[in-house]
Amino acid sequence: MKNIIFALLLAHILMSSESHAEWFNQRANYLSTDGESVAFIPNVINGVREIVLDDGITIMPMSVKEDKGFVRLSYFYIPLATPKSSAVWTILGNDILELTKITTDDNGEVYYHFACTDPLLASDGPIVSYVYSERRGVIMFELLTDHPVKRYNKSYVLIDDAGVGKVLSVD
Amino acid sequence: MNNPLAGTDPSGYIADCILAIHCAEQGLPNPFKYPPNCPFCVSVGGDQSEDNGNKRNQSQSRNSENGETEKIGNQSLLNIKTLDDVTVPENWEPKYLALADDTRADQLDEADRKLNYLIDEATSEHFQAVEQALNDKSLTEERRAHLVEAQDNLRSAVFTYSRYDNPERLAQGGVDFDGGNPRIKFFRSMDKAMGSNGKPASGYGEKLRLGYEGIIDVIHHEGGHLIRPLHYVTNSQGGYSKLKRLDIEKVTNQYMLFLRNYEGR
Repeated sequence: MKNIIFALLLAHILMSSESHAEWFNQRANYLSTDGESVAFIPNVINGVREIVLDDGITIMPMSVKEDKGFVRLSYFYIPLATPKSSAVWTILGNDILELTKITTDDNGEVYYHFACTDPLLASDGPIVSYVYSERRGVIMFELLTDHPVKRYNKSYVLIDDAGVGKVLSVD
Repeated sequence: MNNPLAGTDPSGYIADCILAIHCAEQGLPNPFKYPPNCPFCVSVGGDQSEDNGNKRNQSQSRNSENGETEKIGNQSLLNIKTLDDVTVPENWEPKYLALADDTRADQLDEADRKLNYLIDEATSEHFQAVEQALNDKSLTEERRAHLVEAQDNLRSAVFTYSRYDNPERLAQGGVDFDGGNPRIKFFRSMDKAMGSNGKPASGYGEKLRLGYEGIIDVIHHEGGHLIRPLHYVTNSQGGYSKLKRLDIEKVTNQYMLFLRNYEGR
């Protein structure tokens, strides 16, 4: 009986209209290899939950969305459940999300290496690739940026204790 | 930049509606919902300058819905070079501007209020410039598409003011690549857009105009950030990708220079 109640409760939570984004940290600062900082800031505008990327020049708001077991927090798709192996998902329309590898550090912390590609875009590679752990969130990422002559990759590393997508109950 | 006028009333004229609580007692609007004990809610009014007949005043009259603007629009905003020159009309209320989440009404001082007044008026100028530009039959299809999107996004945009004196920038704007959430946020540092000591400010390599027009320039520029083709790369189906353009500031400066030609003066 307890199992049934638990299953029903779990189903209710998973199917609830409440956003699972609340489970994850959404405020973090990163520094690029060029010394440029970017901040991710949660916000609600016109009743829509979003995360704003503030790169010091312009702001880039993106609404928080959920699809196929992931929550999109700005550029990053954060898994709602721990991935067990490399896989590829078509997510939120066109984006191809690939878990390219899973690594573990000396402390046993597991890192998931994701790459996100827009297949409709003539691109030199993923729009964004990032390394994510449940305990620290996105610890580093690389963005592809368009330029009239050439496209550039810019790399960023986390400078806060908690990155975007850190599971808030884990510590 | 510090605000030397904070807490002062340069006009020497103190209106009846000096504090928010008095405004409320008189049934007058309370633009920022100041608290009753607000010490800086100085509302000044009266004819502060002569009507020099310039087109700016005509523009203000065009904005008038009830004739009140004519009474309070005697100052020429074009003549405003610093916040010292600003007289906020009595009972003025912002049309566009709201406070950002990081700013409380009771934190605002008189300099904030003057700056808010200029930003709000300049935002109105920006709306009109976009509208005027859309009437230009000689525009390229690309530029017309930019303006149509700009106008759509301006209508749904949220304009906010932050008291944060950002040392690196005056304002910021952005729009979701999915088309939602357009917004422009102004910082207290916007007063730097007016230049100082007769020297103009610079925005990403482009000189801004002096005084009030410098503020208009910044809004023209930020308005460009609400145009997705200037911000994002399109994919093979014409949709917008998260891929961001590196030269966005350059193209939004071009948009700023373009819109100067359509200001209502």
